[in-house]
Amino acid sequence: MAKVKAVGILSRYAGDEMEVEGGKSVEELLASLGIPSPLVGIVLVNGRQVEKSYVIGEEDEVKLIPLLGGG
Amino acid sequence: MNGYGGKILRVNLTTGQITKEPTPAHVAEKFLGGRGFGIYFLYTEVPKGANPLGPENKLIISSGPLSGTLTPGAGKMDFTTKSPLTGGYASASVGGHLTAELKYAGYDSIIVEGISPKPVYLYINDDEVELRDASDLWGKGAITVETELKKRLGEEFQIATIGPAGENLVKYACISHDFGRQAGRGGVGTVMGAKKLKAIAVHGTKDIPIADPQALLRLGTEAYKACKASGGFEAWVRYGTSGVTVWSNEVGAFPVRNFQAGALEDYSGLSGETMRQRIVITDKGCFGCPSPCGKYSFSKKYNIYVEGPEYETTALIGGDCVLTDIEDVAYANWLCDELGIDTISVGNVMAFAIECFEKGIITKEDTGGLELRWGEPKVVFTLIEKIARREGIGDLLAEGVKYASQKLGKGSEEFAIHVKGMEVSGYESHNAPAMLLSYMTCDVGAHHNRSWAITYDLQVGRDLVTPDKAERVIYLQHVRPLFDCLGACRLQWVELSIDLGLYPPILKAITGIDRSWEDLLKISERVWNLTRMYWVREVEGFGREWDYPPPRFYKEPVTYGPTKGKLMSWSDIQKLLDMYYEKRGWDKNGIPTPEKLAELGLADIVK
Amino acid sequence: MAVFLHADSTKCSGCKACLVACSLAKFGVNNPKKARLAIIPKFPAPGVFEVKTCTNCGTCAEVCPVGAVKVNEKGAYYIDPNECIACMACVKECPEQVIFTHPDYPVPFECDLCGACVEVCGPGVLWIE
Repeated sequence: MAKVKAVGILSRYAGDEMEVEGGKSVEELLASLGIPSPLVGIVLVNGRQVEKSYVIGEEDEVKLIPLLGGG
Repeated sequence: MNGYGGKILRVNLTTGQITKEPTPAHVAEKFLGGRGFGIYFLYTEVPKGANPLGPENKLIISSGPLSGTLTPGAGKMDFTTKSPLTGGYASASVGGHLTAELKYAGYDSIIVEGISPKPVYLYINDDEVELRDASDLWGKGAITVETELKKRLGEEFQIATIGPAGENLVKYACISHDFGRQAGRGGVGTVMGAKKLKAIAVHGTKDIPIADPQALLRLGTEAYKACKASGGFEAWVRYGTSGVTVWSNEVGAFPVRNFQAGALEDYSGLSGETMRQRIVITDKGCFGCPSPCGKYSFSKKYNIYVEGPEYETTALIGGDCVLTDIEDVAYANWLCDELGIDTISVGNVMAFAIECFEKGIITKEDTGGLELRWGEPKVVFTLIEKIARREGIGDLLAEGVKYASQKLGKGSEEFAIHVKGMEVSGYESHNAPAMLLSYMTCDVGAHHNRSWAITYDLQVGRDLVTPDKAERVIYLQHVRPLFDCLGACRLQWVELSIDLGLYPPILKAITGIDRSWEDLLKISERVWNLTRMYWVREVEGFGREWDYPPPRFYKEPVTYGPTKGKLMSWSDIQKLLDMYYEKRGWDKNGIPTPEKLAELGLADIVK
Repeated sequence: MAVFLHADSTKCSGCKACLVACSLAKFGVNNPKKARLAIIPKFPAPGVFEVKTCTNCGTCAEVCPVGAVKVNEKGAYYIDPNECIACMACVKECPEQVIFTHPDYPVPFECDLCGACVEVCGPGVLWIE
């Protein structure tokens, strides 16, 4: 199972931490959780930024970080 | 006065006279510091109609009450002046260690007046202040000069300097500090160049008087811990602002080909992760920052060290001029830093020039044989050099897109991407009304620092033009610039979401004065309205039409990206302004009413 | 091996929060020029920060002619200002150059392992063990 952590306002949709099965893209994961994709600023997988087309692996740790402020 | 250096340093370059005045308590009470001090002194001391490049204009450099203290991000310095780029109010902020050092030397502000007969630099070593000859530094690059002055004076001196662009009066020259930080926008470096002031070197050893040091240690430590505990901390420290690049392309906020498109076809070469892996060597923080956005890089391809590129540079040079290799952007960034030029304005200006060339408005005859094309690193590098030195076509482009388009005509005004004469920064806003309103009403021209509202558009619906959007913009225009009054960075709040409630107790521990957020926001609103009145005073006929966005945003739909085909309607632009003015207590022409000014305690200043 | 303040310089971003926390904790003032550790920036090249901390090596105690360098309950050497004669021998001999002076104080000062710096460091450069 992959671990998913949702930070800040995104935890409203996914709780602070949850487990999901691998094989789905980040974009699909967001859709299944009802998280509006544009609100997710940075997706980290195992500490590295990925694009939302990234397919989640079974051992991955996914962190969803909202974009609030910008520069 | 607790929380303050206690003195204002006044330097007249014409006469060489240097005076020290006590920091006026009533100004600190009403305007706090930083950009608040800036607009107060600009409004009350610089005569109406002053030539921005003449001796009557002043450069006002101010720290704030948080600067240099144990507060996360307390390292911001404000530079206020009459802008040579826009003819109105300019205030640019720099991080690094300058603001803290100035306070350790015992000063809150430096007010630079007049014009020196020869190039000089200002030397400040605690109470010892003098103007020193800078003839041998004139003509040299900003990084070179900073290195040289530190060698001469000692590593402990903090240096602010201009490069050749400032000397050559390029209208968007910046002031550089700490090997890669800039007070970038509005031509603050141009004013320094006009004054023949090459650099400022500061060293201080004094305590900042603190009302309750024990409380500051306790509350400050708590705030640092809150930053580290933030869920966004890890990503922010790894990527800094460059973490935004992927998202910006995904949502169609990335300016491409002079704001024609909202995303690049392939942006992988510019992503934060690409940058981190390819060029970043050190995380570099400003004073007191627990979450350094500064990414210090080394490019093997060009053999240069550069801080960045940060998001704005990547957006305006990487996106808008279509340089899709991070090392090419890094080299352009380094050139701008060394020459002392604002990367946002210059990126925008170059994209404008390339589009003019594409449309036959500029030809090879104008460019000295250079073919201006998208995605050509050599074109970008050559243009930056030409602009900084005002050579050939660079002389015209050095004036900014507003002036250049008026001069060139032939419809180029339609795609000159600026508001009030300042080039738009890194967020494509054809389909983001709150963000567009932020640019339209920003008090220095089209910059994102006062209000960054595009996430609000995304949250509530980007097609909506509703009163809450105007409200949101006004709220942000009070909160974010408040940090520029306090002399601190807003990013710990913006990016790490630390509680705003942490700040008032810290400010109280420092100054001994109890203020709520509402009190502080009132000060920020006062500052905002005074900056507006400065425009009203300086620009004949100033009003509503000065808040209009570039025609491209309401005449030409987006050509590529997730928002393809979108654009703003003219009636929605009018509606946004109506809602905004009403909520601000301004008249239909966008002028603060006498009642509003009286409510904010500005009636005696704005006569 | 004695307990001391460790620093991983590769993580330092040069913000100096540690120095300010130090001055507040030890002197009750906000002034990084009165800190008991140091950050040396090396820019523009090679673009790194070097953090200097006391390694508790004891050289200061060895060279002190009057026995003013003592050991506190944490095992850290410290200079007793009441006994110090300000000969500056320790300042000169310290191999890490982390015994500091400031014009406001007659005698030098060094880290006593209070830990205030560790708490405010964002990137986790500092630790005591």
